[in-house]
Amino acid sequence: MSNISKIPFFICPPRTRSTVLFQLMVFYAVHKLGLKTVPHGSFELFLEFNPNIHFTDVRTSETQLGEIHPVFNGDELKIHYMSPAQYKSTSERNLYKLSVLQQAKDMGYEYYIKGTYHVVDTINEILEFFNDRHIVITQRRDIEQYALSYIYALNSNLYNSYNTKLFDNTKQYMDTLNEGVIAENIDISELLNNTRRVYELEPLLKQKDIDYTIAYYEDMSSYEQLFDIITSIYGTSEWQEYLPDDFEKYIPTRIDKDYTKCILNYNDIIENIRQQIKDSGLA
Amino acid sequence: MSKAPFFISAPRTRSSVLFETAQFYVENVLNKKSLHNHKELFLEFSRNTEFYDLKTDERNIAELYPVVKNNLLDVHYIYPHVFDTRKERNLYKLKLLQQQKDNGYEYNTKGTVQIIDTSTEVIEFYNDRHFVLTKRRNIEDYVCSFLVAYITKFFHARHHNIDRYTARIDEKVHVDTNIISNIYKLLDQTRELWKLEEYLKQQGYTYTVTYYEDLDTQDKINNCLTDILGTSDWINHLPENFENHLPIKIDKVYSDIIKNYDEVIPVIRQKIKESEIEQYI
Repeated sequence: MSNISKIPFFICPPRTRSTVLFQLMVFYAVHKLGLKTVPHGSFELFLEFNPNIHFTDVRTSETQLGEIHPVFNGDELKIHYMSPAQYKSTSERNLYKLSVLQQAKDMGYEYYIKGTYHVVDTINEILEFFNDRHIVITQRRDIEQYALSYIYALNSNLYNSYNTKLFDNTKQYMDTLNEGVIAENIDISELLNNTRRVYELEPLLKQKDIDYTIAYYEDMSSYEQLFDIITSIYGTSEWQEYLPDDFEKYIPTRIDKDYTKCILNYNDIIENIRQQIKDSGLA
Repeated sequence: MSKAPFFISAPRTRSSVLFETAQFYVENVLNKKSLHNHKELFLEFSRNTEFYDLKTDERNIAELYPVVKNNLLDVHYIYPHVFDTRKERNLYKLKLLQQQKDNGYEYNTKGTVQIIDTSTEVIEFYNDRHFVLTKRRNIEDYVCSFLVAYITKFFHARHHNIDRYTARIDEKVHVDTNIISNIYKLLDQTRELWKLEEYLKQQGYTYTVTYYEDLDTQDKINNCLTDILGTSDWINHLPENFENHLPIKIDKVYSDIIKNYDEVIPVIRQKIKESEIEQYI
């Protein structure tokens, strides 16, 4: 491992503790390694649509999700939401975003962003663009728990519980958890397929001789474990000096769940989920 | 040879009827491309489109944001807004139009009052067109018509929305104080737009001025378009059912529709006087 810390670039399926890892590492990345940040809530630049942004035509009441559309204005990268969607495919969207990141890079700006599984559609271009970075892939060993975690988040539209300086949804999160959700949307074939494609990246990274770390959800259950992983990624423990005392105010709160209880129709869906996992070849 | 028109149009002047009646000839014979999603490219925001943020419960109107898609210009909506000023917005739109022109594509778009911040640039861009300035003689009705459209969010009655339109108009409207303050803006912008006639004359560009009051029948509209396009051939390019797609003219008695008419009309009259717009009719 090199003595000089490389800037990390994350390639992360959802529900893998990647946001915690990412948020803990931001202080060093920005204040020591000189990266720029994007507005809060928009660091997953390669996400295609924001499920929380609804665009409505008042005349017809037709609603669409806002497509994430970054614009570099010569000074900063701003995240906008567009409708109708400009691009037809993930690949087109990624290439546009890479072109915007390239404009910024040409002006001397590099950004601390998290790649979601959407990057696999243009993986060669992504790895080429971030070829001076240390790639961090987050994974989860227990695929059934992974699938259930995603289904719960998708159907509750609550992906993380935050009690941070900028955003607090603790009450809403806990109320929903205590109430439970009925999982109506249980087609996770796209998630599983794309997750498998992320998990299959390791040989490519090896072949391209790119530095990388694979971090497992199950190995990040305590701060001690998280700190060790970050030290390993950065190649130094210096990053801890950049961590503010109240760093917990910047990261999602871990809330363990019993999916047999918080997914109210668990018994009705579990066999379907297991079959989808089996069909995906991910396990 | 007909020149393609470029409309410089204040709202509530029957410009949409003219524009939409002419579009078949302009697009099919004069080879101007149709703009998808919105013909009024220089409009800044759409009051009929909004972004709702579930996390913050905030609602915001969308900015019109044209992009090039499959090599053609297409109007999309965006939030947060990309540009800080109308001038920046117009210049961005002109830049895209110029790129498209360089690639051999020209568009049939309607210029709204928003062009006044870059009127020289817009007029120079379209200097091979025949300009059409749409006006209205009765300014009091002009303001009332705008207020009713702004409040109801119904700028046109069409066949597909006529029931909802009529139902909303039947409900009547109340003009709040904060909306009255917008009248200044409307009158100032309209005055600046109408002043452009002088500029067009000075530059020697061909133009036509049309008046709302002279466009109250299909015959008059047809004659007007024949003058603008310099030929009656355009009529041969109208589809059979074209009238079904045009805005429907519904005459209104504003003293009846505006619930607080007696309260707002003296303010409107005063503002019309102060704006000095009547010199430019």
